Amino acid sequence: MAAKFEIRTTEENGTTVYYVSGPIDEESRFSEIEQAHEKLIVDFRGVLTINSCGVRNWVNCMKKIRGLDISFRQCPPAIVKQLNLVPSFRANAKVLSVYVPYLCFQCDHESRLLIEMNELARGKEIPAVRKCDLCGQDEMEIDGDESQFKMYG
Amino acid sequence: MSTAPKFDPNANDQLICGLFSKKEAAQMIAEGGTHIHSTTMGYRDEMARFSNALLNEKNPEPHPWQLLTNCREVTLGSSGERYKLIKRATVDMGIFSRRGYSEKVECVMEELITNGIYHAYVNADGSNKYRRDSSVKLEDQETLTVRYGATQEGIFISVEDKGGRLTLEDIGSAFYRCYYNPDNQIVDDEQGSGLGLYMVFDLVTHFRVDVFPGQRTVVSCWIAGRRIAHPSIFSFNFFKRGA
Repeated sequence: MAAKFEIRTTEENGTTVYYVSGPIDEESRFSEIEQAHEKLIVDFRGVLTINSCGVRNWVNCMKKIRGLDISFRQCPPAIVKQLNLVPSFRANAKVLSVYVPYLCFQCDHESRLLIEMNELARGKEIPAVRKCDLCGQDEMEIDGDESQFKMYG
Repeated sequence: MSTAPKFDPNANDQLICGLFSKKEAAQMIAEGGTHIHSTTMGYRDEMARFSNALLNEKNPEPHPWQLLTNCREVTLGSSGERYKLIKRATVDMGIFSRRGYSEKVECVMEELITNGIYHAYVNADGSNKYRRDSSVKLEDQETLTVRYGATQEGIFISVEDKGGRLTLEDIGSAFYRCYYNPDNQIVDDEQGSGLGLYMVFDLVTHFRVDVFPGQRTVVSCWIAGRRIAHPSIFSFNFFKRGA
């Protein structure tokens, strides 16, 4: 069964956290987030895909909450791609963390590493090479342009 | 806001070869460039030489990356079938478990198929026949043909509609708006966001459009595998046939 778009809400230290999951497309609505006030975090970890109309719907949501203290966290590569392609996708939001995708040159295994932006700001580097947890070789490299994951540090 | 360059239809059918960014290529396309190859090999590049040989041909042959022996061809008759088809394609191509790769492929297929359904067909007054927010059952003479296949080197995808409406000017203005006017990338249009082709062009290595005006449009893409992918190596080709 196909995953459905969903937004789940929790509170963390007085901040509302919105967990967005599933595919973001023309049918996705962000009414819960549009009603936010003051400070919020959007957790994108569960997002599977995002199409062009999904991007537009998100950008329209961001316009409605302009001026609030907005943070994005756990952004998967599909979201990082949009952060790079469409500046209004991010608008004035802070990016707290992103998943950097790795691909093994030996066995084509994929994995993701969560990178915190405040660690990059303190001088930590994104590992260029990692050990593959499937074949054990030190052959996992970043799948994509490293700079797109560092631009928020 | 950056003003779009003047589109020059006489710029057609000239090979532009060098090492460019896709943003630079977008400007060339907006000015009327039809055959753009970004390569470290210059005019010796195999694909550039191939394009050069096809210039001015009324029926240009496919590029080598469009010729896959294990290519599958599927007919799509409704908007509701597209997600099932896309999932099936990622399984058929053996990339379903490769999340990053399949995300790119799914995005490209969805945008091309959606364009084919909602932008290829018009009413007598020129308005779009099918609304983006509606579920669409295409008529028999409007079905899309989706082709896809995978090799060790990459993935081939093409979507063919029976409308033949896509123009170089449409592509160039969309690319230019998205690359050069970041505050105005998104179109406030019920038919779409205006981002689809831009997202596709950003993801793919080779991008080719064959238009038979009023008859059909074939948009073909190649997504290079990780081992040979390089952001500065790409091509764009636009062939208007039967002109």
